[in-house]
Amino acid sequence: MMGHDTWGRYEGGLARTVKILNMCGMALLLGVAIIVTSDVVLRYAFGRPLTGSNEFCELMMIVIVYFAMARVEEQKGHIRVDLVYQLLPARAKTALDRTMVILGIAIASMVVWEASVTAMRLFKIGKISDILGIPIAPFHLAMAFGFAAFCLVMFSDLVRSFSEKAEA
Amino acid sequence: MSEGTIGLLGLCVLLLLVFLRMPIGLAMLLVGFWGFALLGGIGGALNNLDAVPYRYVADFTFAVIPLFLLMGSVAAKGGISEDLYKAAYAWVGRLRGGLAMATVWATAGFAAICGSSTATAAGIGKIAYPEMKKFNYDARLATGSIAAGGTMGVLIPPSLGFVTYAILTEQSIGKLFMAGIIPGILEAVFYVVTIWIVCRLNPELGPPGTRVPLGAKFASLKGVWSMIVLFLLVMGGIYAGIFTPTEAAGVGASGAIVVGLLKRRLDKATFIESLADSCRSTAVIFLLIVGAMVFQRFIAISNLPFRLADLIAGLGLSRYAILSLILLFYIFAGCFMDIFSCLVLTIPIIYPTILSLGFDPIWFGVLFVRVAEIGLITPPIGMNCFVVAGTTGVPLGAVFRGIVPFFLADLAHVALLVAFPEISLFLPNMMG
Repeated sequence: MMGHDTWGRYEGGLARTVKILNMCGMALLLGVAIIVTSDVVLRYAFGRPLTGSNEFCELMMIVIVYFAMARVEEQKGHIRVDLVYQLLPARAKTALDRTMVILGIAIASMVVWEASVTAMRLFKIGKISDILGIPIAPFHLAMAFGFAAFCLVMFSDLVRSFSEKAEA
Repeated sequence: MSEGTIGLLGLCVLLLLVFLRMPIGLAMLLVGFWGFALLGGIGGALNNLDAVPYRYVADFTFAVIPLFLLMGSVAAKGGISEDLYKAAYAWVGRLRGGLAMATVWATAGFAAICGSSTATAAGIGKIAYPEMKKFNYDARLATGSIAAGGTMGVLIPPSLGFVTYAILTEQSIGKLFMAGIIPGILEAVFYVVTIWIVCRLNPELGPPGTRVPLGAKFASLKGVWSMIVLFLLVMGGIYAGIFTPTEAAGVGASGAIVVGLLKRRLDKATFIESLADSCRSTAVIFLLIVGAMVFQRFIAISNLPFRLADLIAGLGLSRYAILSLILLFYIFAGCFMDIFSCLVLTIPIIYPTILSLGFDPIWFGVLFVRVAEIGLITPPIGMNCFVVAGTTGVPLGAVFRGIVPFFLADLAHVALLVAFPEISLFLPNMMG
């Protein structure tokens, strides 16, 4: 088990990473709004649409969505149904929380693995987008990275729940 | 074990995980993955874990979600709710129950730029309730009108409920938006009539507000004209086929930012907050969509929806009786789950039955969103009632009691939409 200092540094680093990822997504969302509007304006006002704007937005969507997932989990914002959970005693709640987090980490880490494998395969064959010629592999990797951050946030919750019990 | 049995077991495990508080999106990913692995092989199941999350996010059409979220968030933080309420108050506040009616019209207006019901109820609630309190409005009528009015957020376009339904069923987002306009306006009319009847029976519940001179009435529109123009531009553009819904959302988001800057209501902090809110809500919705699509692939190869359709056909009931049962089920399910959870958990299974019964998928989309809305104001979950109780400080029990007349109005409104599909389909059928 890592010491308190090491764990504190790990958590601090993770929080910073999650914040930076989220800010990247926010900046790109603004970028997508500007690109889409510019495309419409240029198309109707000057008859010259922005070539590949749709493709650019599609790729940016990957970053916007997956880079925010860890931040949402940090704030416990993903949709859960509390109805039965509220009726349970505290010990059952803790056990349930841990089980659900482990299941969540299991499936999310499989997405990380699969997206990374696909990214490597696409990187090797040099797959690029149809219009702008942007390499596709980094976006599968971005998806993997977003899910990895999501996993790490859940892992932090799990470790914290065990350490809180040990301290109590 | 047969495919159908595995499908049914998968569904039971999913519901168990959901009710044990696993995030719904992850629960659907997990069950969808293992179910597909059992029926279609591990290779296909692993492939789904990369292909689906990529395919259902990297799509220009789906960028409509973050862009409309940004438009709504920027407008809300720019103080549009206050402007809308002031304008509605100026025009109908003098009537008996007028402040509650103003609340309904203001929520309808807010819904036209914001696709979320709870945001609509919270946005208008904090402005409208203190005014109604000042005029000694009954707390039940006041909070009931806010909570019920807020539900229009997911029916009046742009609606995130329609977008999610469209993604799951591969229907046109634009047509669904158009289909929601007339039912949305009718819903507001139903609520206003309800307030009128309630105040006619007991005038003390909603005393009239102060008289506003005609000049001041027109002056009140100054604060809302920009948003009216923005709504007409966005929806008119979609209707006329000038914009795709995503382009309309982009123009709407940029327009809301420009309006906020021109009115000097959008500073750096509120703008960053709007972007952060939009990204967060986008991630929440897409985890649900991605989970639902992985789960849908499992359910499709299990043939469960078709077996369910056969089973229902074998009951010998008329198709409208089956539709009524489905709608009643959704009103019940809506009491326990929010609209997005309800959508992603049930549409993969129920939608094929709707198609096999020969119902119009756009019309069913309107009915689904409408009945799921009712869940937002019914106990025990009734999210809008919690939000209104939280923002006004009125006890939750009083809010739920105040909802009763609006709930009855909701049932009448749903019956009308079922009896006359043209109300929903008139505008989408006029589109090219």
